[in-house]
Amino acid sequence: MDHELFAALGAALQGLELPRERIERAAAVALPVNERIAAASLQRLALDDHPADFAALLSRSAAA
Amino acid sequence: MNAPVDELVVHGELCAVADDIAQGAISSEALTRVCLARLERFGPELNAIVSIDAAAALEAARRIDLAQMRGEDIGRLGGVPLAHKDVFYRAGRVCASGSKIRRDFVPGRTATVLARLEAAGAVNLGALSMSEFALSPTGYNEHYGHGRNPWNTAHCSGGSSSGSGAAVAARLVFGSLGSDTGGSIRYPAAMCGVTGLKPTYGRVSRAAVMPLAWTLDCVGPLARSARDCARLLSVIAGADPADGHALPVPVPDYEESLNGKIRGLRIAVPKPYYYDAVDDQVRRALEQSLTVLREQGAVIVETAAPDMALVNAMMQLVMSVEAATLHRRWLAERPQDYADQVRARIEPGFCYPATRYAEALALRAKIAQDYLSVAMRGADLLHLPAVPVTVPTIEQTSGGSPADVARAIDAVTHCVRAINYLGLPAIAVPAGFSSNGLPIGFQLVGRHFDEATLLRVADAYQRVTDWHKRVPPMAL
Repeated sequence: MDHELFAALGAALQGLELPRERIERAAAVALPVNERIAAASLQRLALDDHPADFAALLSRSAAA
Repeated sequence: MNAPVDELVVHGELCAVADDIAQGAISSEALTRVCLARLERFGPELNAIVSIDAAAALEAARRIDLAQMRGEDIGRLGGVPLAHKDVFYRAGRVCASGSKIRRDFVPGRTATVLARLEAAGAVNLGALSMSEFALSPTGYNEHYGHGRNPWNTAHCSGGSSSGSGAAVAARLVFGSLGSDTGGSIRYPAAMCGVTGLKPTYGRVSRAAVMPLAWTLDCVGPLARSARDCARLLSVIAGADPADGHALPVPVPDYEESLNGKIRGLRIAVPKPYYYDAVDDQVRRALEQSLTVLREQGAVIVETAAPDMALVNAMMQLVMSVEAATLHRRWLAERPQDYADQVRARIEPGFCYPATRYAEALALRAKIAQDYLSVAMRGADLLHLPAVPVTVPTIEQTSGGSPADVARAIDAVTHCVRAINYLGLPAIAVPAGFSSNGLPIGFQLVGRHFDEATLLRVADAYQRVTDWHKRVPPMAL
């Protein structure tokens, strides 16, 4: 996948016309983050249940 | 009066001064006048001030003094001079949030936390400087000048609550509210040598506070001691109908938990990741602080850290996506009005698919639980570096290539930023100085809504150390 193309598309869809160097810089930050989270999500998100709720975790912690 | 007022302003602490005012031992007006004079004298050199309203402050101080003389309850902060980061709205007053874009923005409502402080009798002196839209850990601000450290003005103050850290350290005010999305209370606290508390996500209202990332933003105090932070947190914490994320969790009296007793408390020290890039001087200060806590009876246990690259990735994604969402219109219409360094932190937010953001939020509870079970492993709290490197110069974090700047910022934020994604409370505590005279701090991290334990341990540490009492030479 061409991440710079994706970054340019993402910005364009938001109504932003970013110059090429800014697209490259943003994509360079986003690419490793994207890959890391995509891999973690495949491993950790259960397919047969709703995800644990963060607000519920906070409420449970407060009650404990 | 027990001491000259200016001595009290330099060496006193918020709680003691509030008690003195309540007992009529000192007047709020006298204290306020000294603080106003110090703000005028030292504030510009530190780039710490946005606006000061002396007339309103003196009027409020005189009101408190009259109420005290009439024997009325003046509140837990009655007559204490404070000033806050320019991120908190006050109806009718310009709130630029460190930006060029909001230079003329006049909100129509007042932040709940400001209203709560004033209901408790605090005297608000004005607004303090901050990084543009709260988007710099160093205090970088191209529009109004970078935050300067009172221990050496060539060095960073830390950000984004840069004015808060500098003003409390230079004894211009007794305390200050800041906001913390990825460390913006803890960086300036650690780098300026004051105590700064980021509460649990949901502990304190963010209503009428300029947002950066709504699932990460927290509001909390910077002050001269853990006890002072405890009093400020007791006043501002609690549910708020104007902020649905501020949870209806009972607020303890945090000062009551400060009994100096930490015997048997288990403090976890996860060495992997957190000590990977610790400067030797910082390491020595951290080890000395652990020795102090051990001598007070705490049990120190070494633990591990989970996959911190993943937690940091989650944090980076959530922050930049939410910031990009909030700033989209301005970035489209007025991109030239942002500093380049600030845009560079927002624009990656446009480069993630919606599924990635949904995954980051869906995994948040699980990753927080994993973090607690691995890093805390049954202990009561964590002891971590705050800023693992010595305080950098402004030049080191703003000059050079974008890659150089990114590396310098990455080093500063290594131990702090992930905590916001996990929603945990954390406090930065002064713990010494590097050889060039700049402060070093450690960070305690607690379980959700257990700010009381953090404050108790920090207070116990401060009962037997005096790092938090040191005053920058320029401010004497």
